Amino acid sequence: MVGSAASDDADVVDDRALVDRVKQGDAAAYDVLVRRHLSRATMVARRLLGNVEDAEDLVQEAFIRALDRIATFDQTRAFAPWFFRLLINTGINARKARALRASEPERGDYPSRDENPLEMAEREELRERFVAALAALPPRQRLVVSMFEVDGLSTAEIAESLGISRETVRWHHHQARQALRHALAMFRG
Amino acid sequence: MNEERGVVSLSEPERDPHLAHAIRAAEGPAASMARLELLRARIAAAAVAALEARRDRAWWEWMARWARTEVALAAAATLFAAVLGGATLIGRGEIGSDTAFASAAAQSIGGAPLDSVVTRALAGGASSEQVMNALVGPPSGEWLLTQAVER
Repeated sequence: MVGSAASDDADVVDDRALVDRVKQGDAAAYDVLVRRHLSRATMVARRLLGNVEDAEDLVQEAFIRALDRIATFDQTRAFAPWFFRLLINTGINARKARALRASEPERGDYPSRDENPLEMAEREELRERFVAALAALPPRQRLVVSMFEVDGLSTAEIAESLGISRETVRWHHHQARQALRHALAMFRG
Repeated sequence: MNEERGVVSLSEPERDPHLAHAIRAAEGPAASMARLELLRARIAAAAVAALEARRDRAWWEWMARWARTEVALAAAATLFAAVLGGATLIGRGEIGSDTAFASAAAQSIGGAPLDSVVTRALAGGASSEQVMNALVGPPSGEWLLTQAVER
Protein backbone atom coordinates (compact mmCIF):
# COMPACT_ATOMS: atom_id res chain seq x y z
CA MET A 1 0.00 0.00 0.00
CA VAL A 2 2.85 2.31 0.76
CA GLY A 3 5.39 2.46 -2.03
CA SER A 4 9.05 3.36 -2.00
CA ALA A 5 10.21 6.86 -1.08
CA ALA A 6 10.93 7.66 -4.73
CA SER A 7 7.50 6.60 -5.95
CA ASP A 8 5.88 8.43 -3.00
CA ASP A 9 7.67 11.62 -4.05
CA ALA A 10 6.54 11.08 -7.63
CA ASP A 11 2.97 10.57 -6.43
CA VAL A 12 3.10 13.77 -4.36
CA VAL A 13 4.36 15.78 -7.34
CA ASP A 14 1.84 14.12 -9.60
CA ASP A 15 -0.98 14.72 -7.09
CA ARG A 16 -0.16 18.45 -7.12
CA ALA A 17 -0.33 18.57 -10.91
CA LEU A 18 -3.65 16.72 -10.78
CA VAL A 19 -5.01 19.10 -8.14
CA ASP A 20 -4.04 22.02 -10.38
CA ARG A 21 -6.11 20.53 -13.20
CA VAL A 22 -9.02 19.67 -10.88
CA LYS A 23 -9.12 23.34 -9.85
CA GLN A 24 -9.82 24.14 -13.51
CA GLY A 25 -12.64 21.57 -13.53
CA ASP A 26 -10.75 18.76 -15.30
CA ALA A 27 -12.89 15.63 -14.80
CA ALA A 28 -10.18 13.24 -16.05
CA ALA A 29 -7.67 14.56 -13.48
CA TYR A 30 -10.27 14.22 -10.72
CA ASP A 31 -10.90 10.63 -11.77
CA VAL A 32 -7.19 9.80 -11.59
CA LEU A 33 -7.00 11.34 -8.12
CA VAL A 34 -10.02 9.30 -6.98
CA ARG A 35 -8.63 6.03 -8.41
CA ARG A 36 -5.29 6.65 -6.73
CA HIS A 37 -6.72 7.03 -3.21
CA LEU A 38 -9.97 5.05 -3.41
CA SER A 39 -8.79 1.69 -2.10
CA ARG A 40 -7.08 3.07 0.98
CA ALA A 41 -9.91 5.52 1.61
CA THR A 42 -12.41 2.65 1.59
CA MET A 43 -10.32 0.67 4.06
CA VAL A 44 -9.94 3.64 6.42
CA ALA A 45 -13.68 4.37 6.18
CA ARG A 46 -14.50 0.74 7.00
CA ARG A 47 -12.29 0.88 10.07
CA LEU A 48 -14.11 4.02 11.16
CA LEU A 49 -17.69 2.96 10.50
CA GLY A 50 -17.58 -0.80 10.71
CA ASN A 51 -19.61 -1.72 7.62
CA VAL A 52 -19.10 -1.55 3.90
CA GLU A 53 -22.22 0.45 2.91
CA ASP A 54 -21.61 3.28 5.39
CA ALA A 55 -17.92 3.25 4.47
CA GLU A 56 -18.69 3.71 0.76
CA ASP A 57 -21.10 6.56 1.50
CA LEU A 58 -18.41 8.21 3.60
CA VAL A 59 -15.76 7.82 0.88
CA GLN A 60 -18.07 9.39 -1.69
CA GLU A 61 -18.92 12.27 0.65
CA ALA A 62 -15.24 12.86 1.42
CA PHE A 63 -14.24 12.99 -2.27
CA ILE A 64 -17.07 15.44 -3.06
CA ARG A 65 -16.12 17.60 -0.06
CA ALA A 66 -12.51 17.54 -1.18
CA LEU A 67 -13.63 18.85 -4.58
CA ASP A 68 -15.68 21.61 -2.96
CA ARG A 69 -12.72 22.65 -0.81
CA ILE A 70 -9.93 22.10 -3.32
CA ALA A 71 -9.27 25.87 -3.47
CA THR A 72 -8.24 25.80 0.21
CA PHE A 73 -5.70 23.00 -0.34
CA ASP A 74 -2.13 24.19 0.26
CA GLN A 75 -0.23 22.93 -2.78
CA THR A 76 3.12 23.09 -1.02
CA ARG A 77 1.95 20.04 0.97
CA ALA A 78 0.98 16.49 0.02
CA PHE A 79 -2.59 15.79 -1.04
CA ALA A 80 -3.05 12.42 0.75
CA PRO A 81 -2.76 13.60 4.38
CA TRP A 82 -5.06 16.55 3.62
CA PHE A 83 -7.63 14.29 2.03
CA PHE A 84 -7.45 11.60 4.73
CA ARG A 85 -7.82 14.18 7.47
CA LEU A 86 -10.99 15.38 5.75
CA LEU A 87 -12.23 11.79 5.38
CA ILE A 88 -11.51 10.89 9.01
CA ASN A 89 -13.09 14.04 10.44
CA THR A 90 -16.18 13.51 8.27
CA GLY A 91 -16.31 9.88 9.42
CA ILE A 92 -15.98 10.72 13.10
CA ASN A 93 -18.80 13.27 12.75
CA ALA A 94 -20.92 10.74 10.86
CA ARG A 95 -20.46 8.22 13.67
CA LYS A 96 -21.75 10.73 16.16
CA ALA A 97 -24.62 11.96 13.97
CA ARG A 98 -26.31 8.82 12.73
CA ALA A 99 -27.12 5.44 14.07
CA LEU A 100 -24.92 3.05 12.19
CA ARG A 101 -26.29 0.04 10.44
CA ALA A 102 -25.16 -2.92 12.44
CA SER A 103 -23.53 -5.61 10.42
CA GLU A 104 -21.45 -8.64 10.96
CA PRO A 105 -17.83 -8.05 10.03
CA GLU A 106 -16.76 -9.98 6.97
CA ARG A 107 -14.67 -13.02 7.57
CA GLY A 108 -11.19 -12.67 6.23
CA ASP A 109 -9.23 -15.59 7.54
CA TYR A 110 -10.83 -18.83 6.38
CA PRO A 111 -9.69 -22.04 8.03
CA SER A 112 -8.06 -24.60 5.85
CA ARG A 113 -9.91 -27.86 5.12
CA ASP A 114 -7.20 -29.84 6.88
CA GLU A 115 -7.80 -28.24 10.29
CA ASN A 116 -9.44 -30.44 12.87
CA PRO A 117 -12.70 -29.25 14.51
CA LEU A 118 -11.00 -28.30 17.77
CA GLU A 119 -8.44 -26.12 16.01
CA MET A 120 -11.18 -24.55 13.95
CA ALA A 121 -13.25 -23.76 17.04
CA GLU A 122 -10.23 -22.29 18.83
CA ARG A 123 -9.34 -20.27 15.82
CA GLU A 124 -12.89 -18.96 15.48
CA GLU A 125 -13.08 -18.06 19.14
CA LEU A 126 -9.77 -16.27 18.98
CA ARG A 127 -10.90 -14.36 15.91
CA GLU A 128 -14.17 -13.34 17.56
CA ARG A 129 -12.40 -12.19 20.69
CA PHE A 130 -9.93 -10.18 18.66
CA VAL A 131 -12.67 -8.65 16.50
CA ALA A 132 -14.53 -7.64 19.67
CA ALA A 133 -11.39 -6.10 21.16
CA LEU A 134 -10.68 -4.20 17.94
CA ALA A 135 -14.29 -2.96 17.76
CA ALA A 136 -14.14 -1.85 21.39
CA LEU A 137 -11.21 0.50 20.73
CA PRO A 138 -11.99 4.23 20.38
CA PRO A 139 -12.12 5.15 16.64
CA ARG A 140 -8.83 7.06 16.65
CA GLN A 141 -6.97 4.25 18.41
CA ARG A 142 -8.36 1.69 15.97
CA LEU A 143 -7.31 3.85 13.06
CA VAL A 144 -3.84 4.51 14.43
CA VAL A 145 -3.02 0.86 15.14
CA SER A 146 -4.37 -0.29 11.74
CA MET A 147 -2.63 2.45 9.78
CA PHE A 148 0.65 1.72 11.55
CA GLU A 149 0.61 -2.08 11.66
CA VAL A 150 -1.33 -2.96 8.48
CA ASP A 151 -0.82 -0.02 6.11
CA GLY A 152 2.78 0.52 7.22
CA LEU A 153 2.48 4.29 7.64
CA SER A 154 4.90 6.11 9.93
CA THR A 155 3.70 7.91 13.05
CA ALA A 156 4.48 11.21 11.31
CA GLU A 157 2.24 10.32 8.35
CA ILE A 158 -0.56 9.19 10.66
CA ALA A 159 -0.20 12.38 12.71
CA GLU A 160 -0.62 14.50 9.58
CA SER A 161 -3.64 12.52 8.42
CA LEU A 162 -5.38 12.78 11.78
CA GLY A 163 -4.30 16.35 12.53
CA ILE A 164 -2.70 15.40 15.85
CA SER A 165 0.87 15.33 17.18
CA ARG A 166 3.25 12.39 16.76
CA GLU A 167 3.33 11.97 20.52
CA THR A 168 -0.45 11.58 20.59
CA VAL A 169 -0.24 9.04 17.77
CA ARG A 170 2.34 7.04 19.72
CA TRP A 171 0.16 7.18 22.81
CA HIS A 172 -2.93 5.95 20.88
CA HIS A 173 -0.81 3.23 19.25
CA HIS A 174 0.54 2.13 22.60
CA GLN A 175 -2.94 1.97 24.18
CA ALA A 176 -4.43 0.08 21.24
CA ARG A 177 -1.59 -2.40 21.07
CA GLN A 178 -1.82 -3.11 24.79
CA ALA A 179 -5.57 -3.77 24.54
CA LEU A 180 -5.24 -6.04 21.50
CA ARG A 181 -2.32 -7.99 22.90
CA HIS A 182 -4.24 -8.41 26.13
CA ALA A 183 -7.21 -9.87 24.19
CA LEU A 184 -4.94 -12.36 22.44
CA ALA A 185 -3.06 -13.28 25.64
CA MET A 186 -6.28 -13.88 27.61
CA PHE A 187 -7.40 -16.49 25.15
CA ARG A 188 -4.04 -18.17 24.94
CA GLY A 189 -4.01 -18.32 28.75
CA MET B 1 11.12 -3.02 26.80
CA ASN B 2 9.34 0.23 27.59
CA GLU B 3 5.99 -0.93 26.24
CA GLU B 4 5.98 -3.97 28.50
CA ARG B 5 6.21 -1.60 31.45
CA GLY B 6 3.37 0.54 30.05
CA VAL B 7 5.57 3.48 29.09
CA VAL B 8 5.13 5.12 25.68
CA SER B 9 8.38 5.06 23.72
CA LEU B 10 9.72 8.36 22.38
CA SER B 11 11.16 6.69 19.29
CA GLU B 12 9.26 5.15 16.36
CA PRO B 13 7.62 1.94 17.64
CA GLU B 14 8.56 -1.40 16.12
CA ARG B 15 5.98 -3.08 13.93
CA ASP B 16 4.33 -6.26 15.15
CA PRO B 17 3.72 -8.72 12.28
CA HIS B 18 1.49 -10.99 14.41
CA LEU B 19 -0.73 -8.08 15.34
CA ALA B 20 -0.83 -6.94 11.72
CA HIS B 21 -1.94 -10.42 10.65
CA ALA B 22 -4.64 -10.55 13.32
CA ILE B 23 -5.96 -7.09 12.38
CA ARG B 24 -6.03 -8.02 8.69
CA ALA B 25 -7.96 -11.19 9.50
CA ALA B 26 -10.41 -9.28 11.69
CA GLU B 27 -10.95 -6.53 9.12
CA GLY B 28 -11.70 -8.99 6.35
CA PRO B 29 -10.64 -8.77 2.74
CA ALA B 30 -10.19 -5.45 1.00
CA ALA B 31 -13.05 -4.31 -1.24
CA SER B 32 -13.10 -6.13 -4.57
CA MET B 33 -12.03 -4.32 -7.76
CA ALA B 34 -15.59 -4.52 -9.09
CA ARG B 35 -16.96 -2.89 -5.95
CA LEU B 36 -14.30 -0.17 -6.09
CA GLU B 37 -15.10 0.45 -9.75
CA LEU B 38 -18.79 0.91 -8.92
CA LEU B 39 -17.90 3.33 -6.15
CA ARG B 40 -15.57 5.26 -8.48
CA ALA B 41 -18.41 5.59 -11.01
CA ARG B 42 -20.76 6.85 -8.26
CA ILE B 43 -18.22 9.47 -7.19
CA ALA B 44 -17.62 10.56 -10.78
CA ALA B 45 -21.38 10.99 -11.35
CA ALA B 46 -21.78 12.96 -8.11
CA ALA B 47 -18.90 15.27 -9.04
CA VAL B 48 -20.16 16.28 -12.51
CA ALA B 49 -21.99 19.46 -11.44
CA ALA B 50 -19.19 20.68 -9.18
CA LEU B 51 -16.58 20.14 -11.90
CA GLU B 52 -18.72 21.96 -14.45
CA ALA B 53 -19.14 24.92 -12.09
CA ARG B 54 -15.38 24.93 -11.60
CA ARG B 55 -14.79 25.01 -15.40
CA ASP B 56 -17.17 28.01 -15.76
CA ARG B 57 -15.49 29.76 -12.84
CA ALA B 58 -12.06 29.14 -14.36
CA TRP B 59 -13.20 30.73 -17.65
CA TRP B 60 -14.54 33.82 -15.88
CA GLU B 61 -11.43 34.11 -13.74
CA TRP B 62 -9.33 33.98 -16.92
CA MET B 63 -11.51 36.70 -18.51
CA ALA B 64 -11.35 38.87 -15.41
CA ARG B 65 -7.58 38.56 -15.24
CA TRP B 66 -7.21 39.57 -18.89
CA ALA B 67 -9.83 42.31 -18.61
CA ARG B 68 -7.76 43.94 -15.89
CA THR B 69 -4.68 43.87 -18.13
CA GLU B 70 -6.65 45.20 -21.08
CA VAL B 71 -8.06 48.11 -19.08
CA ALA B 72 -4.57 49.03 -17.91
CA LEU B 73 -3.26 48.87 -21.50
CA ALA B 74 -6.17 50.96 -22.78
CA ALA B 75 -5.61 53.59 -20.09
CA ALA B 76 -1.92 53.76 -20.94
CA ALA B 77 -2.70 54.04 -24.66
CA THR B 78 -5.22 56.86 -24.02
CA LEU B 79 -2.72 58.75 -21.90
CA PHE B 80 -0.04 58.30 -24.52
CA ALA B 81 -2.40 59.46 -27.29
CA ALA B 82 -3.41 62.50 -25.26
CA VAL B 83 0.20 63.51 -24.66
CA LEU B 84 1.12 62.89 -28.29
CA GLY B 85 -2.01 64.72 -29.54
CA GLY B 86 -1.35 67.71 -27.25
CA ALA B 87 2.20 68.01 -28.50
CA THR B 88 0.96 67.92 -32.11
CA LEU B 89 -1.58 70.67 -31.43
CA ILE B 90 1.02 72.85 -29.78
CA GLY B 91 3.28 72.20 -32.73
CA ARG B 92 0.54 73.34 -35.11
CA GLY B 93 -0.12 76.43 -32.99
CA GLU B 94 -3.72 75.52 -32.08
CA ILE B 95 -3.11 76.21 -28.42
CA GLY B 96 -2.99 79.88 -28.03
CA SER B 97 -5.49 80.48 -30.78
CA ASP B 98 -8.32 80.98 -28.30
CA THR B 99 -8.77 84.38 -29.78
CA ALA B 100 -9.30 83.07 -33.31
CA PHE B 101 -12.96 82.35 -32.77
CA ALA B 102 -13.48 85.59 -30.83
CA SER B 103 -11.99 87.67 -33.66
CA ALA B 104 -14.00 85.79 -36.28
CA ALA B 105 -17.15 86.27 -34.25
CA ALA B 106 -16.39 89.95 -33.75
CA GLN B 107 -15.98 90.41 -37.46
CA SER B 108 -19.31 88.71 -38.07
CA ILE B 109 -21.31 91.10 -35.86
CA GLY B 110 -23.75 92.72 -38.10
CA GLY B 111 -25.87 89.78 -39.08
CA ALA B 112 -23.53 87.28 -40.74
CA PRO B 113 -25.01 83.76 -40.59
CA LEU B 114 -23.68 81.48 -37.80
CA ASP B 115 -22.29 78.79 -40.12
CA SER B 116 -20.07 81.36 -41.81
CA VAL B 117 -18.80 82.44 -38.37
CA VAL B 118 -17.95 78.83 -37.54
CA THR B 119 -16.30 78.30 -40.91
CA ARG B 120 -14.20 81.39 -40.54
CA ALA B 121 -13.25 80.51 -36.95
CA LEU B 122 -12.12 77.06 -37.98
CA ALA B 123 -10.24 78.51 -40.93
CA GLY B 124 -8.63 80.95 -38.52
CA GLY B 125 -7.17 78.07 -36.45
CA ALA B 126 -9.82 77.53 -33.70
CA SER B 127 -10.17 73.96 -32.49
CA SER B 128 -13.51 72.17 -32.71
CA GLU B 129 -13.74 72.22 -28.91
CA GLN B 130 -13.31 76.00 -28.84
CA VAL B 131 -16.04 76.36 -31.45
CA MET B 132 -18.39 74.12 -29.44
CA ASN B 133 -17.63 76.04 -26.25
CA ALA B 134 -18.41 79.29 -27.96
CA LEU B 135 -21.67 77.99 -29.43
CA VAL B 136 -23.16 76.03 -26.50
CA GLY B 137 -21.03 77.16 -23.59
CA PRO B 138 -18.11 75.37 -21.87
CA PRO B 139 -18.86 72.06 -20.15
CA SER B 140 -18.44 73.50 -16.64
CA GLY B 141 -21.52 75.73 -16.88
CA GLU B 142 -19.69 78.64 -15.29
CA TRP B 143 -20.32 80.70 -18.39
CA LEU B 144 -24.05 80.67 -17.59
CA LEU B 145 -23.42 82.10 -14.11
CA THR B 146 -21.15 84.73 -15.60
CA GLN B 147 -23.85 85.76 -18.04
CA ALA B 148 -26.43 86.05 -15.27
CA VAL B 149 -24.17 88.20 -13.06
CA GLU B 150 -23.33 90.52 -15.95
CA ARG B 151 -27.02 91.19 -16.54
